[in-house]
Amino acid sequence: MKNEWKDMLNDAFYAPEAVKKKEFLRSIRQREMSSFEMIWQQAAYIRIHVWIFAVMIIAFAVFGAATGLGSTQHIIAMIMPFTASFSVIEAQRSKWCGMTELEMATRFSLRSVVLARMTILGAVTFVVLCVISPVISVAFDQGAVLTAVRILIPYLVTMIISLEAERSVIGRKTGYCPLMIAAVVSVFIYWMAGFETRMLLRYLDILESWGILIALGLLALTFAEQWKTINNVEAFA
Amino acid sequence: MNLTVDRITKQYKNKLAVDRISFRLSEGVTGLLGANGAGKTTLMRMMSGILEPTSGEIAVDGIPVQSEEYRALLGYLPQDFGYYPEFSAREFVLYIAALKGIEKKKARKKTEELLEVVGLSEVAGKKIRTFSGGMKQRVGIAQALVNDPKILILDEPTAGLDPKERVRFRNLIAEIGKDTIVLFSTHIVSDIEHIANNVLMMKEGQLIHEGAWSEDKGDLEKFYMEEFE
Repeated sequence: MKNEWKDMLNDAFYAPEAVKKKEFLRSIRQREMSSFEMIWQQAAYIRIHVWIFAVMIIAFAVFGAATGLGSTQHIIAMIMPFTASFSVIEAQRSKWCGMTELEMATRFSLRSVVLARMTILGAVTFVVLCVISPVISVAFDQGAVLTAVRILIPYLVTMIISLEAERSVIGRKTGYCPLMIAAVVSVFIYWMAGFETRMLLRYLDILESWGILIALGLLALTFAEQWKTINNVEAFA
Repeated sequence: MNLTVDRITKQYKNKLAVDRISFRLSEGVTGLLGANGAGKTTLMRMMSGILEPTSGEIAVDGIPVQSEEYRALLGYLPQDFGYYPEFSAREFVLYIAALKGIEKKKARKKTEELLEVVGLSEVAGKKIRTFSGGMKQRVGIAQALVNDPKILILDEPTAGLDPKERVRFRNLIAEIGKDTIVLFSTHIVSDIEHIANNVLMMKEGQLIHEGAWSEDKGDLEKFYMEEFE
């Protein structure tokens, strides 16, 4: 009965045509997006190999610790520069794919996109470091902080040089400049361990005394370089 | 809604790419004509907030070009644009929608609608890298429209389109221009002569004509050819 009434009313009175519906919908302001939402959104667009690489480093650290592989820490220190170079390349991807103009003309701008990507990639490295440092530290009976510092320094050195190089004339034309820098840093670490044992011991002595200060200094320099990159990203586009 | 360009200048070392240009646009299609190197792209990049002018101001109803509020109203199609190689047409438009702050559900609906409009719904899931130039251009058009922009800046949008697509595109722009400020740059007069209510003509960084083109002024193409000979 109720439905019959409803149908009769529907037949008797036609719903009026929407007046300026489109204009009304367009006039509604879009809601603000929080920084967290922006970061979360960009995380979905980070390429899969970045995540796989991070998982592989953790897996290798666990494997090395479980099997007592003495050179685990050293190998990870050699791999970390490549993590840094992947981060720099990934954050600057818009440039190499010709997306800068489009991203700059969107509501959040290219600067926000690059900042969000750098935050995600930095967070990934932080998580990797937080997982592998205690694992290696316990397995090889070393101080956790010294372990973290030893792994972190090659990463930070590569990051600083890569960011600086990315802003240079050559870096702006050569997409894989950070990979070359990572290779040089990695080879240097290998050389220290393989042929100059005395040098490595000296390096470890320095790290023991000054490691935290050096790492903090390099971290500050990394932030400064990232800040410069973010501020220049639209000017260089 | 009024888009005001006030004495805008762009200087590169000792070359003036855009030289003290002023005009005001309201809803409707404005054609921007000029030969290659006339300064059209530089002007459009400044109007899209991508390039900072050396001097002058650009604002829409008092909202400056540098603000997020302005960019929220903007749809922009650059002359050349790239894409992330792993993107399909759908993913590309959804990505731009995300950067424009459109909610996921609404973005999905709008993306499908636009891909249908530009005739790409059947290949929406295919990678853009497999597309022809014209198809890529149509994806570009779709991304520019995804936020229902109130200002639409199109830099040579018909480049790479075949004659049939060109006509379809012109009709689409004419429809959008009814309630949107559309600035459409081209060096092909026929692209705009039937749909533009307003014509801007640039030569060597300066505006040499501004206003509606009526038949009593003669043939637009003839005038254009004379100016750029």
